[in-house]
Amino acid sequence: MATKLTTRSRLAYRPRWLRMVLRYLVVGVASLFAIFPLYWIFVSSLLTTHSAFDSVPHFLPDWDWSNYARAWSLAPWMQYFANSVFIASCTVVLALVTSLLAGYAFGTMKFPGRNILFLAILGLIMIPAEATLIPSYLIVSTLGWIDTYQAQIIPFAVSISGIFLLRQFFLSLPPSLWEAAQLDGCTRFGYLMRIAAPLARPALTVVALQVFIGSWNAFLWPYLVTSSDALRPVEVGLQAFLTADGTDPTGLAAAAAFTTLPVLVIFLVAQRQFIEGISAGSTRG
Amino acid sequence: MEQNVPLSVAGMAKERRPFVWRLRKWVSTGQAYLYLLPVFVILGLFAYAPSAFVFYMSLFKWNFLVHGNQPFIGLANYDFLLHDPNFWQALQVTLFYVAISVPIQLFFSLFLALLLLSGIRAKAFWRLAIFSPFIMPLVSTTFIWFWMFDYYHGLFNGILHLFHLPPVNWLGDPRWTLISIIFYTTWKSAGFNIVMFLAGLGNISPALAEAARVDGANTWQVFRYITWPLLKPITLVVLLLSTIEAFKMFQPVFLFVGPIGGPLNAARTLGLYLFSQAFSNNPHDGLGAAISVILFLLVFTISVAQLSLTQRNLAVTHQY
Repeated sequence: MATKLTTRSRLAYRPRWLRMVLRYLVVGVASLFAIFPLYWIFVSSLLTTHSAFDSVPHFLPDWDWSNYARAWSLAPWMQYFANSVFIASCTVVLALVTSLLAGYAFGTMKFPGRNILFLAILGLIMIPAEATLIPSYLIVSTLGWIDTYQAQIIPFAVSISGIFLLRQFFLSLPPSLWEAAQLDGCTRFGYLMRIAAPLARPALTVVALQVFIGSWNAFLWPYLVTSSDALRPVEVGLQAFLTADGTDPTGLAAAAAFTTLPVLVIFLVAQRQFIEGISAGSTRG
Repeated sequence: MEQNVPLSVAGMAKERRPFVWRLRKWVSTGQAYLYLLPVFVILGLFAYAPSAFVFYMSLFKWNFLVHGNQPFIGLANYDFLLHDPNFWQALQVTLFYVAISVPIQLFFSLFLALLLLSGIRAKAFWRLAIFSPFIMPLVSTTFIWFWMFDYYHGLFNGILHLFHLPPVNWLGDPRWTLISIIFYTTWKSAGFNIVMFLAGLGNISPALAEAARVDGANTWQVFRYITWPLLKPITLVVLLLSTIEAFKMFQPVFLFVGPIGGPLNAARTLGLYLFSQAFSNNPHDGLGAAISVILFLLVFTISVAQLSLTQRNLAVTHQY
């Protein structure tokens, strides 16, 4: 055992600088691999058609902005963007209200069935939405919601991770705060609105961002329940645009670029909140 | 206060107090259900009801295009699936996808998370870069990958060409279709797992590893005997989430190669099969519901198995 140990550690003992170089190399290659397709969307969107069809890949853009004008004129993008903004904003507002109320109840109140109800919500992680797609579609069409905004908003007005995050937050509030508020004549609802919710602003920001991006990026459900351009969000419009004409890759790349740009900007501005949201869910879950 | 109150009044107050007190307690307890009402109304309508209804639908020869009564056919949908080669192929494709993509994801994300914590500078920058694909929309990223996979003008074959290697028909060759999609999904979701692992690793006290190093342990031994056992709860959560994700995967397949799952249905997973059965010009929604039930039972069984494993492991780690 002792000899084995020494040979092993001798093998592992490469010079320190070499080890660091190797680490930077691996992490650098992985990062490059991760962001390269995003870079490639923007390069392809700025190529001339001639270089897009070249047998040798062009790694630098030709700065041909006409692709954007062409792609923009071929579909009702303004309508799509307006729809996406409206749907995502409504979903965020509703999801914040429902998560706040439920998280507050789970985090600060004692009532019979609390744990069972909470488990009933968490357990939904194990039911893939794909497996309930058919009856969900049936329910939405029975309600007469096919091709409406509410079909794209109401089913997403509950965020399981949002309830979870806010519950964690309210559990961490000191009970003395509630006792003090009670002495000052505060009701439970008043305490939530005046004290607890403002304190929960960081957690609410995380939930709002997650729900917004989730709603903006949703594809399959809006694809199923919408049929007219007047109600379609950007992602479904983009998919229809991409499948309609496959002979214009630079135009398609331009459309992919200007539909991805808002997501990219929001992510770069708020990346810390996105990453914190996931970390918080993992360590306490 | 009470000492100043006459005896009789104090007695009355004592009798009344339990009722008022009970009422207030009941109101404050009952309030909780009011706060939970919106969540459960929405979940009831769009999560619990569909989950229950999918079992019911699977017993009918259901068709969305037919209005009125749907004929009850008992277990005939399940019997049909048992003898349906397409179903068995879809099951095989799904299991293959899970068996390949989940270990790859777990390995790469744990490896990169460990590297990021091994004293590298600008950690936040690398993390941001690696995490970014997870946030990006499905449609535009599958589009650019589709274009990179292109046989004649794609980037991958361009690179193979530079090295004088023969081109690969990434999405068109049934042997490669699913593998190409694994490339994409690994790229797309590795960032999420890395962030989970980083959070888990951040909770392990560095003092433990330092103590082991003082005792002469090398990098591998520190990982094997300290990091790995302590990280196990997080590893199991990541394993659970990525397994569920892998079982239900079909949107990338749909966007890459369409509703039939590419040449020879090489990438038609259970999710895609149920989708194409339920939403076509000649829909078999009862059959789709039966496939949904099977998918649901598969995911549920494996989740419960992994969760009970987590419980046991948590019990073990709590002993220390």
